[in-house]
Amino acid sequence: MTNSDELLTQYLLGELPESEQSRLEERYFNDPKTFEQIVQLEADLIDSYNRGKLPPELRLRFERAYLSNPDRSDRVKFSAALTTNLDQRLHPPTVQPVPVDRDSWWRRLFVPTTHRALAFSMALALLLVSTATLWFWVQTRRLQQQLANARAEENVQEQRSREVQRELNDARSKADQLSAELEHAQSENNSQTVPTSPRTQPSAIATLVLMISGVRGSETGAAPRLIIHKDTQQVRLQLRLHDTEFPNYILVLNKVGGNEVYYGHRAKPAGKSAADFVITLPAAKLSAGDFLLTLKGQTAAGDIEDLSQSLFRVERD
Amino acid sequence: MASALTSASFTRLLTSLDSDPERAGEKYEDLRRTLIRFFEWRGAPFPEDHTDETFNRIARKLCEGIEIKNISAYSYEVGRLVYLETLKGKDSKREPLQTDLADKSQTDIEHRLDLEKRLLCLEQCLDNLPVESRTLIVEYYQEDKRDRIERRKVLAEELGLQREALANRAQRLRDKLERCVTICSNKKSAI
Repeated sequence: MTNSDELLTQYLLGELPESEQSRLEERYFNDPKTFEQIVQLEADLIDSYNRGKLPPELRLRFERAYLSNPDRSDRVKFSAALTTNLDQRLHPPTVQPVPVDRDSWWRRLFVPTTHRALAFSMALALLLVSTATLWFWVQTRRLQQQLANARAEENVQEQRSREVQRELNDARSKADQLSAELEHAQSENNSQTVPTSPRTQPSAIATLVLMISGVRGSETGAAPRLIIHKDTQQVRLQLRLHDTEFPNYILVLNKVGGNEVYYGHRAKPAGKSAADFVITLPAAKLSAGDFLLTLKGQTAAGDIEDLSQSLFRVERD
Repeated sequence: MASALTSASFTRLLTSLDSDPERAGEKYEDLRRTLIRFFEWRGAPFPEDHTDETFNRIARKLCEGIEIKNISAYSYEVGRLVYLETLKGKDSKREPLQTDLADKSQTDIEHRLDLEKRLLCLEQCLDNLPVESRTLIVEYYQEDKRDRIERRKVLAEELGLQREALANRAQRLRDKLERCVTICSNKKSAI
Protein backbone atom coordinates (compact mmCIF):
# COMPACT_ATOMS: atom_id res chain seq x y z
CA MET A 1 0.00 0.00 0.00
CA THR A 2 1.46 3.37 -1.03
CA ASN A 3 1.49 6.43 1.25
CA SER A 4 -1.38 7.88 -0.71
CA ASP A 5 -3.35 4.64 -0.41
CA GLU A 6 -2.62 4.61 3.33
CA LEU A 7 -4.01 8.13 3.69
CA LEU A 8 -7.10 7.31 1.64
CA THR A 9 -7.65 4.11 3.63
CA GLN A 10 -7.51 6.08 6.86
CA TYR A 11 -10.07 8.47 5.37
CA LEU A 12 -12.38 5.60 4.45
CA LEU A 13 -12.06 4.15 7.94
CA GLY A 14 -12.82 7.53 9.54
CA GLU A 15 -9.39 7.75 11.15
CA LEU A 16 -8.17 11.08 9.79
CA PRO A 17 -8.35 14.27 11.87
CA GLU A 18 -11.13 16.63 10.81
CA SER A 19 -8.80 19.12 9.11
CA GLU A 20 -7.21 16.44 6.93
CA GLN A 21 -10.60 14.99 6.10
CA SER A 22 -11.80 18.40 4.94
CA ARG A 23 -8.66 18.96 2.89
CA LEU A 24 -9.08 15.63 1.14
CA GLU A 25 -12.78 16.21 0.57
CA GLU A 26 -12.14 19.63 -0.99
CA ARG A 27 -9.62 17.95 -3.26
CA TYR A 28 -11.88 15.18 -4.48
CA PHE A 29 -14.87 17.46 -4.99
CA ASN A 30 -12.73 19.50 -7.37
CA ASP A 31 -10.71 16.65 -8.87
CA PRO A 32 -12.70 13.70 -10.31
CA LYS A 33 -9.52 11.60 -10.57
CA THR A 34 -8.96 11.73 -6.83
CA PHE A 35 -12.61 10.84 -6.25
CA GLU A 36 -12.43 7.82 -8.56
CA GLN A 37 -9.22 6.75 -6.88
CA ILE A 38 -10.94 6.66 -3.49
CA VAL A 39 -13.98 4.83 -4.86
CA GLN A 40 -11.79 2.16 -6.44
CA LEU A 41 -9.64 1.82 -3.36
CA GLU A 42 -12.78 1.29 -1.32
CA ALA A 43 -14.00 -1.43 -3.70
CA ASP A 44 -10.66 -3.24 -3.55
CA LEU A 45 -10.52 -2.89 0.24
CA ILE A 46 -13.99 -4.40 0.65
CA ASP A 47 -13.24 -7.22 -1.79
CA SER A 48 -9.99 -8.00 0.03
CA TYR A 49 -11.92 -8.13 3.29
CA ASN A 50 -14.39 -10.61 1.85
CA ARG A 51 -11.60 -12.72 0.44
CA GLY A 52 -9.88 -12.83 3.85
CA LYS A 53 -6.83 -10.98 2.56
CA LEU A 54 -6.68 -8.12 5.02
CA PRO A 55 -4.06 -8.28 7.76
CA PRO A 56 -5.72 -8.88 11.16
CA GLU A 57 -5.23 -5.34 12.45
CA LEU A 58 -6.63 -3.75 9.28
CA ARG A 59 -9.48 -6.24 9.31
CA LEU A 60 -10.49 -5.08 12.79
CA ARG A 61 -10.36 -1.41 11.77
CA PHE A 62 -12.39 -2.19 8.67
CA GLU A 63 -15.10 -4.07 10.58
CA ARG A 64 -15.37 -1.25 13.10
CA ALA A 65 -15.94 1.32 10.34
CA TYR A 66 -18.00 -0.66 7.85
CA LEU A 67 -20.12 -3.22 9.61
CA SER A 68 -21.75 -0.79 12.02
CA ASN A 69 -23.16 1.43 9.26
CA PRO A 70 -26.18 0.12 7.27
CA ASP A 71 -25.19 1.60 3.88
CA ARG A 72 -21.58 0.48 4.16
CA SER A 73 -22.62 -2.91 5.49
CA ASP A 74 -24.81 -3.36 2.42
CA ARG A 75 -21.83 -2.55 0.23
CA VAL A 76 -19.83 -5.25 2.02
CA LYS A 77 -22.65 -7.76 1.48
CA PHE A 78 -22.80 -6.93 -2.21
CA SER A 79 -19.06 -7.43 -2.46
CA ALA A 80 -19.38 -10.78 -0.68
CA ALA A 81 -21.85 -11.92 -3.35
CA LEU A 82 -19.70 -10.52 -6.17
CA THR A 83 -16.43 -12.05 -5.01
CA THR A 84 -18.13 -15.39 -4.32
CA ASN A 85 -19.67 -15.40 -7.79
CA LEU A 86 -16.44 -14.41 -9.54
CA ASP A 87 -14.26 -16.78 -7.56
CA GLN A 88 -16.61 -19.67 -8.24
CA ARG A 89 -16.25 -19.00 -11.97
CA LEU A 90 -12.51 -19.34 -11.58
CA HIS A 91 -12.58 -22.30 -9.22
CA PRO A 92 -15.87 -24.12 -9.62
CA PRO A 93 -16.57 -26.34 -6.60
CA THR A 94 -15.67 -29.95 -7.41
CA VAL A 95 -17.49 -32.99 -6.16
CA GLN A 96 -15.23 -35.40 -4.30
CA PRO A 97 -15.55 -38.92 -5.72
CA VAL A 98 -17.04 -41.31 -3.22
CA PRO A 99 -14.77 -44.30 -2.67
CA VAL A 100 -16.32 -47.57 -3.78
CA ASP A 101 -16.84 -49.86 -0.89
CA ARG A 102 -17.58 -53.49 -1.48
CA ASP A 103 -19.24 -53.77 1.94
CA SER A 104 -22.96 -54.31 2.19
CA TRP A 105 -25.26 -51.36 1.70
CA TRP A 106 -26.27 -51.16 5.34
CA ARG A 107 -22.66 -51.07 6.44
CA ARG A 108 -21.93 -48.33 3.90
CA LEU A 109 -24.82 -46.32 5.31
CA PHE A 110 -23.40 -46.36 8.80
CA VAL A 111 -19.70 -45.91 7.97
CA PRO A 112 -19.83 -42.09 8.00
CA THR A 113 -21.26 -42.12 11.51
CA THR A 114 -18.11 -43.73 12.86
CA HIS A 115 -16.37 -40.40 12.20
CA ARG A 116 -17.74 -37.84 14.65
CA ALA A 117 -16.79 -34.72 12.74
CA LEU A 118 -18.41 -35.94 9.56
CA ALA A 119 -21.47 -37.06 11.47
CA PHE A 120 -21.76 -33.62 13.02
CA SER A 121 -21.39 -31.98 9.59
CA MET A 122 -24.11 -34.21 8.17
CA ALA A 123 -26.40 -33.34 11.05
CA LEU A 124 -25.71 -29.65 10.51
CA ALA A 125 -26.30 -30.01 6.77
CA LEU A 126 -29.57 -31.78 7.48
CA LEU A 127 -30.56 -28.99 9.84
CA LEU A 128 -29.72 -26.35 7.20
CA VAL A 129 -31.70 -28.19 4.54
CA SER A 130 -34.66 -28.58 6.91
CA THR A 131 -34.54 -24.89 7.82
CA ALA A 132 -34.32 -23.88 4.17
CA THR A 133 -37.21 -26.20 3.28
CA LEU A 134 -39.33 -24.76 6.08
CA TRP A 135 -38.46 -21.23 5.00
CA PHE A 136 -39.42 -21.94 1.38
CA TRP A 137 -42.67 -23.54 2.51
CA VAL A 138 -43.55 -20.48 4.61
CA GLN A 139 -42.68 -18.15 1.71
CA THR A 140 -44.77 -20.21 -0.71
CA ARG A 141 -47.79 -20.09 1.60
CA ARG A 142 -47.40 -16.35 1.98
CA LEU A 143 -47.16 -15.86 -1.78
CA GLN A 144 -50.24 -18.01 -2.33
CA GLN A 145 -52.17 -15.92 0.19
CA GLN A 146 -51.02 -12.69 -1.44
CA LEU A 147 -52.05 -14.02 -4.85
CA ALA A 148 -55.50 -14.94 -3.53
CA ASN A 149 -55.86 -11.45 -1.98
CA ALA A 150 -54.72 -9.79 -5.20
CA ARG A 151 -57.26 -11.79 -7.24
CA ALA A 152 -60.07 -10.89 -4.82
CA GLU A 153 -59.13 -7.21 -5.06
CA GLU A 154 -59.01 -7.44 -8.84
CA ASN A 155 -62.56 -8.86 -8.88
CA VAL A 156 -63.81 -6.06 -6.62
CA GLN A 157 -62.20 -3.45 -8.85
CA GLU A 158 -63.66 -5.00 -11.98
CA GLN A 159 -67.09 -4.87 -10.40
CA ARG A 160 -66.58 -1.26 -9.39
CA SER A 161 -65.49 -0.40 -12.90
CA ARG A 162 -68.66 -2.03 -14.32
CA GLU A 163 -70.80 -0.04 -11.88
CA VAL A 164 -69.10 3.22 -12.83
CA GLN A 165 -69.58 2.44 -16.50
CA ARG A 166 -73.25 1.73 -15.85
CA GLU A 167 -73.68 5.04 -14.03
CA LEU A 168 -71.89 6.84 -16.84
CA ASN A 169 -74.22 5.30 -19.41
CA ASP A 170 -77.22 6.31 -17.31
CA ALA A 171 -75.95 9.85 -17.02
CA ARG A 172 -75.36 10.03 -20.77
CA SER A 173 -78.82 8.83 -21.63
CA LYS A 174 -80.32 11.32 -19.15
CA ALA A 175 -78.32 14.10 -20.76
CA ASP A 176 -79.50 13.05 -24.22
CA GLN A 177 -83.05 12.99 -22.98
CA LEU A 178 -82.79 16.46 -21.50
CA SER A 179 -81.23 17.82 -24.69
CA ALA A 180 -84.09 16.36 -26.72
CA GLU A 181 -86.65 17.89 -24.37
CA LEU A 182 -84.92 21.25 -24.56
CA GLU A 183 -84.85 21.20 -28.32
CA HIS A 184 -88.49 20.25 -28.38
CA ALA A 185 -89.37 23.08 -26.00
CA GLN A 186 -87.41 25.56 -28.08
CA SER A 187 -88.94 24.45 -31.32
CA GLU A 188 -92.37 24.85 -29.71
CA ASN A 189 -91.48 28.44 -28.76
CA ASN A 190 -90.10 29.07 -32.29
CA SER A 191 -86.72 30.05 -30.81
CA GLN A 192 -83.75 30.43 -33.20
CA THR A 193 -81.03 30.14 -30.61
CA VAL A 194 -79.18 26.86 -30.13
CA PRO A 195 -78.26 25.94 -26.60
CA THR A 196 -74.54 26.00 -26.16
CA SER A 197 -72.98 22.94 -24.64
CA PRO A 198 -71.27 23.68 -21.40
CA ARG A 199 -68.27 22.11 -22.93
CA THR A 200 -67.73 24.94 -25.37
CA GLN A 201 -67.88 27.69 -22.75
CA PRO A 202 -64.47 29.12 -22.23
CA SER A 203 -63.14 28.41 -18.73
CA ALA A 204 -60.41 30.03 -16.62
CA ILE A 205 -58.91 26.56 -16.06
CA ALA A 206 -58.31 24.03 -18.84
CA THR A 207 -58.04 20.47 -17.58
CA LEU A 208 -56.72 17.34 -19.27
CA VAL A 209 -56.83 13.93 -17.65
CA LEU A 210 -54.28 11.46 -18.95
CA MET A 211 -54.22 7.74 -18.31
CA ILE A 212 -50.98 5.89 -18.01
CA SER A 213 -49.65 4.28 -21.15
CA GLY A 214 -46.41 2.32 -21.45
CA VAL A 215 -43.13 3.95 -22.40
CA ARG A 216 -42.74 1.58 -25.29
CA GLY A 217 -46.39 1.23 -26.10
CA SER A 218 -47.60 2.29 -29.48
CA GLU A 219 -50.27 4.99 -29.80
CA THR A 220 -53.34 3.45 -31.30
CA GLY A 221 -55.41 6.58 -31.70
CA ALA A 222 -55.16 10.35 -31.98
CA ALA A 223 -53.39 12.15 -29.14
CA PRO A 224 -55.74 13.79 -26.66
CA ARG A 225 -56.32 17.49 -27.24
CA LEU A 226 -56.18 20.31 -24.76
CA ILE A 227 -57.93 23.39 -25.98
CA ILE A 228 -56.75 26.64 -24.41
CA HIS A 229 -59.06 29.58 -24.97
CA LYS A 230 -58.02 33.20 -24.93
CA ASP A 231 -59.23 33.79 -21.39
CA THR A 232 -57.92 30.49 -19.97
CA GLN A 233 -55.50 31.38 -17.21
CA GLN A 234 -54.39 28.04 -15.89
CA VAL A 235 -53.84 24.58 -17.23
CA ARG A 236 -54.29 21.51 -15.10
CA LEU A 237 -52.82 18.21 -16.19
CA GLN A 238 -53.93 15.16 -14.26
CA LEU A 239 -52.11 11.86 -14.63
CA ARG A 240 -53.84 8.75 -13.32
CA LEU A 241 -51.61 5.96 -12.05
CA HIS A 242 -53.26 2.70 -11.00
CA ASP A 243 -50.33 0.93 -9.47
CA THR A 244 -47.83 2.85 -7.32
CA GLU A 245 -44.82 0.64 -6.74
CA PHE A 246 -42.16 3.34 -6.33
CA PRO A 247 -41.72 5.53 -3.25
CA ASN A 248 -41.13 8.64 -5.35
CA TYR A 249 -42.04 9.80 -8.81
CA ILE A 250 -40.79 12.43 -11.21
CA LEU A 251 -42.93 14.24 -13.76
CA VAL A 252 -41.32 15.85 -16.79
CA LEU A 253 -43.24 17.84 -19.36
CA ASN A 254 -41.50 18.66 -22.64
CA LYS A 255 -42.64 20.34 -25.80
CA VAL A 256 -41.96 17.92 -28.64
CA GLY A 257 -38.90 19.27 -30.40
CA GLY A 258 -38.59 22.03 -27.81
CA ASN A 259 -37.68 22.77 -24.20
CA GLU A 260 -38.64 21.26 -20.93
CA VAL A 261 -41.66 23.01 -19.51
CA TYR A 262 -42.03 21.34 -16.15
CA TYR A 263 -40.00 19.07 -13.86
CA GLY A 264 -41.26 17.97 -10.49
CA HIS A 265 -41.09 15.29 -7.83
CA ARG A 266 -44.06 13.57 -6.25
CA ALA A 267 -44.18 11.17 -3.33
CA LYS A 268 -46.29 8.05 -3.41
CA PRO A 269 -49.57 8.80 -1.58
CA ALA A 270 -49.54 7.08 1.81
CA GLY A 271 -51.69 3.97 2.11
CA LYS A 272 -52.89 4.05 -1.49
CA SER A 273 -52.11 1.82 -4.42
CA ALA A 274 -53.31 4.35 -7.01
CA ALA A 275 -52.47 8.01 -7.47
CA ASP A 276 -53.55 11.12 -9.31
CA PHE A 277 -50.65 13.40 -10.04
CA VAL A 278 -51.63 16.94 -10.88
CA ILE A 279 -49.55 19.61 -12.59
CA THR A 280 -50.89 23.15 -12.56
CA LEU A 281 -49.26 25.59 -14.96
CA PRO A 282 -49.91 29.07 -16.26
CA ALA A 283 -51.69 28.69 -19.60
CA ALA A 284 -49.07 30.93 -21.20
CA LYS A 285 -46.45 28.20 -20.75
CA LEU A 286 -48.15 25.94 -23.25
CA SER A 287 -47.97 27.14 -26.81
CA ALA A 288 -49.83 25.35 -29.59
CA GLY A 289 -48.27 22.06 -30.55
CA ASP A 290 -47.46 18.60 -29.24
CA PHE A 291 -46.32 17.91 -25.69
CA LEU A 292 -44.94 14.83 -23.99
CA LEU A 293 -45.54 14.11 -20.30
CA THR A 294 -43.10 11.54 -18.93
CA LEU A 295 -43.64 9.77 -15.63
CA LYS A 296 -40.54 8.31 -13.98
CA GLY A 297 -40.31 6.13 -10.90
CA GLN A 298 -37.53 6.65 -8.44
CA THR A 299 -36.45 3.85 -6.17
CA ALA A 300 -35.28 4.31 -2.62
CA ALA A 301 -31.78 3.76 -3.97
CA GLY A 302 -32.16 6.73 -6.28
CA ASP A 303 -32.47 4.86 -9.54
CA ILE A 304 -34.82 6.37 -12.00
CA GLU A 305 -36.89 4.36 -14.41
CA ASP A 306 -39.16 5.66 -17.16
CA LEU A 307 -42.69 4.37 -16.55
CA SER A 308 -44.86 6.07 -19.15
CA GLN A 309 -45.04 8.77 -21.77
CA SER A 310 -48.28 10.56 -22.59
CA LEU A 311 -48.52 12.61 -25.76
CA PHE A 312 -51.13 15.36 -26.10
CA ARG A 313 -51.78 18.29 -28.40
CA VAL A 314 -52.45 21.86 -27.36
CA GLU A 315 -54.71 23.97 -29.51
CA ARG A 316 -55.21 27.65 -28.87
CA ASP A 317 -57.87 29.99 -30.12
CA MET B 1 -37.34 15.18 4.14
CA ALA B 2 -36.07 17.56 1.44
CA SER B 3 -38.81 19.21 -0.63
CA ALA B 4 -38.68 18.66 -4.37
CA LEU B 5 -36.89 20.97 -6.77
CA THR B 6 -39.22 22.90 -9.04
CA SER B 7 -38.69 22.73 -12.76
CA ALA B 8 -37.30 26.25 -12.84
CA SER B 9 -34.80 25.75 -10.04
CA PHE B 10 -33.67 22.41 -11.44
CA THR B 11 -33.13 24.02 -14.84
CA ARG B 12 -31.15 26.79 -13.18
CA LEU B 13 -28.98 24.26 -11.41
CA LEU B 14 -28.29 22.36 -14.62
CA THR B 15 -27.45 25.55 -16.49
CA SER B 16 -24.97 26.51 -13.80
CA LEU B 17 -23.16 23.20 -14.35
CA ASP B 18 -22.91 23.50 -18.11
CA SER B 19 -24.57 25.42 -20.91
CA ASP B 20 -24.95 22.23 -22.94
CA PRO B 21 -27.96 20.30 -21.53
CA GLU B 22 -26.45 16.85 -22.13
CA ARG B 23 -23.13 17.68 -20.50
CA ALA B 24 -24.99 19.42 -17.67
CA GLY B 25 -26.98 16.23 -17.04
CA GLU B 26 -23.77 14.18 -16.86
CA LYS B 27 -22.14 16.67 -14.51
CA TYR B 28 -25.24 16.63 -12.33
CA GLU B 29 -25.09 12.84 -12.08
CA ASP B 30 -21.36 12.93 -11.29
CA LEU B 31 -21.85 15.56 -8.61
CA ARG B 32 -24.75 13.64 -7.15
CA ARG B 33 -22.62 10.51 -6.99
CA THR B 34 -19.81 12.43 -5.28
CA LEU B 35 -22.16 13.90 -2.70
CA ILE B 36 -23.77 10.53 -1.91
CA ARG B 37 -20.36 8.97 -1.38
CA PHE B 38 -19.24 11.91 0.73
CA PHE B 39 -22.19 11.42 3.07
CA GLU B 40 -21.63 7.67 3.18
CA TRP B 41 -17.93 8.03 3.94
CA ARG B 42 -18.76 10.48 6.69
CA GLY B 43 -21.15 7.92 8.13
CA ALA B 44 -24.25 10.09 7.75
CA PRO B 45 -27.61 8.27 7.62
CA PHE B 46 -29.80 8.76 4.50
CA PRO B 47 -27.03 9.88 2.13
CA GLU B 48 -29.42 10.33 -0.79
CA ASP B 49 -31.81 12.51 1.17
CA HIS B 50 -28.93 14.70 2.31
CA THR B 51 -27.75 14.95 -1.28
CA ASP B 52 -31.19 16.11 -2.39
CA GLU B 53 -31.23 18.66 0.43
CA THR B 54 -27.81 19.91 -0.68
CA PHE B 55 -29.03 20.38 -4.25
CA ASN B 56 -32.19 22.11 -2.99
CA ARG B 57 -30.13 24.66 -1.09
CA ILE B 58 -27.81 25.30 -4.03
CA ALA B 59 -30.76 25.72 -6.38
CA ARG B 60 -32.41 28.17 -3.97
CA LYS B 61 -29.27 30.30 -3.92
CA LEU B 62 -29.11 30.29 -7.70
CA CYS B 63 -32.77 31.31 -7.92
CA GLU B 64 -32.03 34.18 -5.52
CA GLY B 65 -29.66 35.46 -8.20
CA ILE B 66 -26.42 34.56 -6.45
CA GLU B 67 -23.63 33.72 -8.86
CA ILE B 68 -21.66 30.59 -7.99
CA LYS B 69 -18.40 30.30 -9.91
CA ASN B 70 -17.35 26.84 -8.75
CA ILE B 71 -20.41 24.66 -8.22
CA SER B 72 -18.35 21.63 -7.16
CA ALA B 73 -16.55 23.49 -4.39
CA TYR B 74 -19.78 25.18 -3.33
CA SER B 75 -21.53 21.80 -3.26
CA TYR B 76 -18.90 20.53 -0.86
CA GLU B 77 -19.40 23.49 1.46
CA VAL B 78 -23.16 23.11 1.48
CA GLY B 79 -22.91 19.33 1.81
CA ARG B 80 -20.57 19.70 4.74
CA LEU B 81 -23.03 22.05 6.40
CA VAL B 82 -25.86 19.57 5.87
CA TYR B 83 -23.64 16.86 7.36
CA LEU B 84 -22.82 18.96 10.41
CA GLU B 85 -26.54 19.59 10.93
CA THR B 86 -27.09 15.84 11.08
CA LEU B 87 -24.52 15.64 13.86
CA LYS B 88 -26.47 18.22 15.81
CA GLY B 89 -29.41 15.87 15.77
CA LYS B 90 -31.75 17.47 13.27
CA ASP B 91 -32.10 14.08 11.60
CA SER B 92 -31.93 12.06 14.78
CA LYS B 93 -35.73 11.66 14.80
CA ARG B 94 -35.56 9.40 11.75
CA GLU B 95 -34.24 5.91 12.22
CA PRO B 96 -32.41 4.22 9.35
CA LEU B 97 -34.79 1.82 7.65
CA GLN B 98 -32.26 -0.99 7.74
CA THR B 99 -31.46 -2.14 11.20
CA ASP B 100 -29.30 -5.09 10.34
CA LEU B 101 -26.19 -3.74 12.00
CA ALA B 102 -23.26 -6.05 12.41
CA ASP B 103 -24.25 -8.43 15.14
CA LYS B 104 -21.89 -11.16 16.03
CA SER B 105 -24.79 -13.18 17.33
CA GLN B 106 -26.43 -13.21 13.85
CA THR B 107 -26.44 -16.82 12.96
CA ASP B 108 -24.50 -18.41 10.18
CA ILE B 109 -27.81 -19.49 8.72
CA GLU B 110 -29.00 -15.90 8.39
CA HIS B 111 -25.71 -14.88 6.80
CA ARG B 112 -25.91 -17.78 4.42
CA LEU B 113 -29.54 -17.09 3.46
CA ASP B 114 -28.73 -13.43 2.84
CA LEU B 115 -25.72 -14.37 0.72
CA GLU B 116 -27.77 -16.90 -1.26
CA LYS B 117 -30.41 -14.29 -1.94
CA ARG B 118 -27.82 -11.79 -3.16
CA LEU B 119 -26.05 -14.40 -5.27
CA LEU B 120 -29.34 -15.19 -6.99
CA CYS B 121 -29.98 -11.49 -7.59
CA LEU B 122 -26.44 -10.98 -8.82
CA GLU B 123 -26.84 -13.74 -11.42
CA GLN B 124 -30.00 -12.10 -12.70
CA CYS B 125 -28.38 -8.67 -12.77
CA LEU B 126 -25.26 -10.00 -14.53
CA ASP B 127 -27.46 -11.70 -17.12
CA ASN B 128 -29.10 -8.35 -17.83
CA LEU B 129 -25.74 -6.77 -18.72
CA PRO B 130 -24.43 -6.80 -22.30
CA VAL B 131 -21.83 -9.54 -22.82
CA GLU B 132 -18.88 -7.11 -23.08
CA SER B 133 -19.83 -5.43 -19.81
CA ARG B 134 -20.27 -8.76 -18.06
CA THR B 135 -16.86 -9.91 -19.28
CA LEU B 136 -15.24 -6.67 -18.18
CA ILE B 137 -16.67 -6.91 -14.65
CA VAL B 138 -15.63 -10.55 -14.32
CA GLU B 139 -12.11 -9.99 -15.62
CA TYR B 140 -11.57 -6.80 -13.64
CA TYR B 141 -12.68 -8.01 -10.22
CA GLN B 142 -11.78 -11.69 -10.44
CA GLU B 143 -8.92 -12.69 -8.22
CA ASP B 144 -6.38 -15.08 -9.63
CA LYS B 145 -2.73 -15.75 -8.96
CA ARG B 146 -1.50 -12.74 -10.90
CA ASP B 147 -0.91 -9.43 -9.20
CA ARG B 148 -4.07 -7.32 -9.32
CA ILE B 149 -2.38 -4.26 -10.81
CA GLU B 150 -0.62 -6.34 -13.45
CA ARG B 151 -3.84 -8.15 -14.36
CA ARG B 152 -5.74 -4.90 -14.81
CA LYS B 153 -2.93 -3.41 -16.84
CA VAL B 154 -3.09 -6.37 -19.23
CA LEU B 155 -6.87 -6.08 -19.42
CA ALA B 156 -6.62 -2.37 -20.28
CA GLU B 157 -4.16 -3.15 -23.06
CA GLU B 158 -6.42 -5.89 -24.43
CA LEU B 159 -9.38 -3.52 -24.51
CA GLY B 160 -7.36 -0.62 -25.90
CA LEU B 161 -8.19 1.61 -22.94
CA GLN B 162 -6.17 3.79 -20.61
CA ARG B 163 -5.97 2.27 -17.14
CA GLU B 164 -7.98 5.08 -15.62
CA ALA B 165 -10.70 4.77 -18.24
CA LEU B 166 -10.91 1.03 -17.61
CA ALA B 167 -11.07 1.58 -13.86
CA ASN B 168 -13.85 4.18 -14.26
CA ARG B 169 -15.84 1.94 -16.56
CA ALA B 170 -15.48 -1.05 -14.23
CA GLN B 171 -16.52 1.01 -11.22
CA ARG B 172 -19.62 2.41 -12.95
CA LEU B 173 -20.65 -1.10 -13.97
CA ARG B 174 -20.08 -2.24 -10.41
CA ASP B 175 -22.22 0.62 -9.06
CA LYS B 176 -24.96 -0.33 -11.52
CA LEU B 177 -24.79 -3.98 -10.45
CA GLU B 178 -24.86 -2.99 -6.81
CA ARG B 179 -28.03 -0.91 -7.30
CA CYS B 180 -29.62 -3.78 -9.23
CA VAL B 181 -28.80 -6.33 -6.53
CA THR B 182 -30.04 -4.00 -3.76
CA ILE B 183 -33.40 -3.49 -5.49
CA CYS B 184 -33.72 -7.19 -6.25
CA SER B 185 -32.84 -8.38 -2.76
CA ASN B 186 -35.15 -5.76 -1.16
CA LYS B 187 -37.99 -7.06 -3.35
CA LYS B 188 -37.25 -10.63 -2.27
CA SER B 189 -37.17 -9.56 1.38
CA ALA B 190 -40.52 -7.79 1.01
CA ILE B 191 -42.24 -10.93 -0.24
